[in-house]
This record gives sequence, structure tokens and C-alpha cells, in this order.
Amino acid sequence: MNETSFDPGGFFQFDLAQGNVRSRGGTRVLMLSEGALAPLIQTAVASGDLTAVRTLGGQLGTIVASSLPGPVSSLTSAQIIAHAGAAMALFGWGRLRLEQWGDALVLQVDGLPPLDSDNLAVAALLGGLFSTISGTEVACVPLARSTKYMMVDPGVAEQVWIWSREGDNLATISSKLRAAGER
Amino acid sequence: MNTAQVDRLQALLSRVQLNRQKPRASTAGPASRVAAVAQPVPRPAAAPEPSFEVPHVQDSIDTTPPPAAFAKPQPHQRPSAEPARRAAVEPERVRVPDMKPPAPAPRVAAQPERAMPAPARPTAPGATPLEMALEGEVARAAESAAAMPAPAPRPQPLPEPVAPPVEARRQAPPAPEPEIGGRVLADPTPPQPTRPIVQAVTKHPPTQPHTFTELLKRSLALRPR
Repeated sequence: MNETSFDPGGFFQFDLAQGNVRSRGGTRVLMLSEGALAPLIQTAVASGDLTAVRTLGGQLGTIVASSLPGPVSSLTSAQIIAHAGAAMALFGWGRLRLEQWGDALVLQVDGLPPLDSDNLAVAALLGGLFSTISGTEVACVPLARSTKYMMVDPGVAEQVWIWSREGDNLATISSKLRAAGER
Repeated sequence: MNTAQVDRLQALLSRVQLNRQKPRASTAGPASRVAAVAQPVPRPAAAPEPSFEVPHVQDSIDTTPPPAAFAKPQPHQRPSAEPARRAAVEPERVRVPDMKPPAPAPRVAAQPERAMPAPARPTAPGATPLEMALEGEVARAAESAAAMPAPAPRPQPLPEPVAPPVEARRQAPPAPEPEIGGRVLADPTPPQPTRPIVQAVTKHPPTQPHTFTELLKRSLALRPR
């Protein structure tokens, strides 16, 4: 079974006469090299505002949602990740995978050029992407010394980020979390 | 021919007739009767062949070892116990040196209770066991032909035991799958675990595939301990 039913054919339309590129749905895009994008992202991280990157993730989420074979609530995680990964790959944002550590969902993105040291830009992109897909605010917290991002509630994101910066690995962080109804 | 000669001839005729009325006195009598019962073409009574008679009688007696089920008293076998007991108690009467080889006779006496045919009427005194067997065979054949449509009960080899020995079962080739109308009744696939190993080793049921929304809700519900 091919989980990826996302059709990338004709996703980008190049209008050479007008000098513009539009993605499926009519959104105009600008193609940047990684050497030009990285300084922009580092500037945004330094200023503490990654809203633009999160907006980009939201746009990818809209593309993914429009390509899904059914409502998000009826699809499996494999189907969702397949479509989201295809959209990210089309825009050059690496290869997306999903892991499950206990009840925690963990995303892994490989094949990206170094944009910022803490992977905050990718975290913002994934947050915008899956928030749009699921219709719920999702925080994707980057885990230090890895390419993994834990999907948690925005109210817990700061604590998870602190644990990761303190050196806790993914297993330790998962053990420090409990379900909301658990005593 | 004078009267004396006529009297002698009449005396001879009467003796001949008396001899004819006593066929047991001649050695050719039982053999001819056996031949008449066993073979459609009667053999000449004057030339009996002991080598033919003994195997034929033994064939009807069947000296094969008795199956286990025949050790139990069967209703149709009870009449044969009397000549068997008599033959076992009186072994000297078993010997028939004049017409039978000595070897088969002890076999008849050794295992007679299951194979000796039951005599329908009392045997004449002085008859040899073979004669008793022949007479019983003849009588039984006549009775079965006249009264019983079913063949006379005869020791038949029992079917194989239901549960063969373990070694035999191990060495026997695998039996073909039972089929009805070309459909295999038994599952040809090797037995598989009925439950997933996760369910067998843990108290929790196996994890069911959840939707992405359910998994995301669980992940978003996580809080610091």
C-alpha cells in the first residue's frame, strides 16, 4: 500500500513571461538558496520572532489538508505524515518521519542544511504545519543534539525545551511527562 | 449257479451294503466329504491326498494368532469350546498317523478354541479330531446354507488399533488431509499463535491503530509530572 497518494505533478507553475512561480492553489512563491535563507532565519531567531516561518508552515499545512483523501480525524498517522512529508520535500525542507515515544509524538526531519543552531526555524515550520492540519495549536519543541521535535501543548513547550537544554534525552523527557488524567 | 453260491453272493452283497452304510470306516470318506463341500468338482474318493486335505482343513480352521478381541467369549464361538477342550484334554486322539502328517495335527490341538468349527451334532465315538472337525464343518456349512443368509461367523482379522504405538505414528508417513468434495477439511497451514505475543506477555491488549488526531491529542495532553 502506498501511503503517499500525494501527486507532485504540476505542483509548481512557472510563468517565465511574467517572471513568477506559483504553487498549487495559486500562492506565489519565491525560490531562495539556502545560503540566503539561513541568515534571514538566524536574524529572526535572534529577534525572537519566527512568525514568518510559522506562517510558511501554515501554508504547507493548507496544501497538505487539501490533498488528503478524507477528513484528518479519520486518517492514520502514516497517511498524514506521508502527505506532510511530500509537501515539505517539494519545498526543499528535508525528509519527514514520525516516531512515537510512549504517548508523545516525535517528528524527525533529516536532510536539511544548517539554518540555526537550535533548529528553531524548523520547529516553527512544523508547528505551523501541524497546527493547520489538525486545527489545534501544536508546539514542536526541538530536542538538543538531534533532529527530533516533540509535539506537545504550547503550555508545556517551555518546560520540555528546558529539559532538553539541560541534557535530558528523549527517553528521560518522555518519562518526565504524564498524561493529563494520570495521577 | 447253485443255491450255495447264490447264498454266498447274497451274503457278500449284504456285507458290501453294510460297509457302504458305514462310510466312516473307510479312510476315503472324510476326504471325499470335504472335497464335496469345499470344491465344486468332487475329487475321486478312492485317491485322497493327505497333503491336500490338511491344508484345506487348516484353511477353514485358521491357525493365525487370535486377535485380542477374540480372547473374549463370543456368542458364536461358544459351541466350539467343547471340541477344543476335548482335543486339549485328549492329545493322543489328535494323532492321525495313517492319513495326516503329524506336524499339522498339534497345531490344530494347540489353538483350537477360536478356530475349531462347532459341531452341529455329537460326533461318533472313536472319531479323530480331524474327523470331528470335518464333520462339524460339513454340518455347519449345511446349516448355514439352509438357514442363515449371512455367512457363517469366521474369525476375521481385527482392524488396526485405533491408537497405534507412538513409534509407529512417528515413522508413519503423514496421512492425507481429509477431504469432502475436494475441500480440505483440515487447515494445512501450521498452527499459529492464537493471540499476539503482546497480549500474551502483557496485561494490556494489543495496541490498535489510532488515527492521527487521537495520537496527537494524547501527545498534547502530556504534562510535567
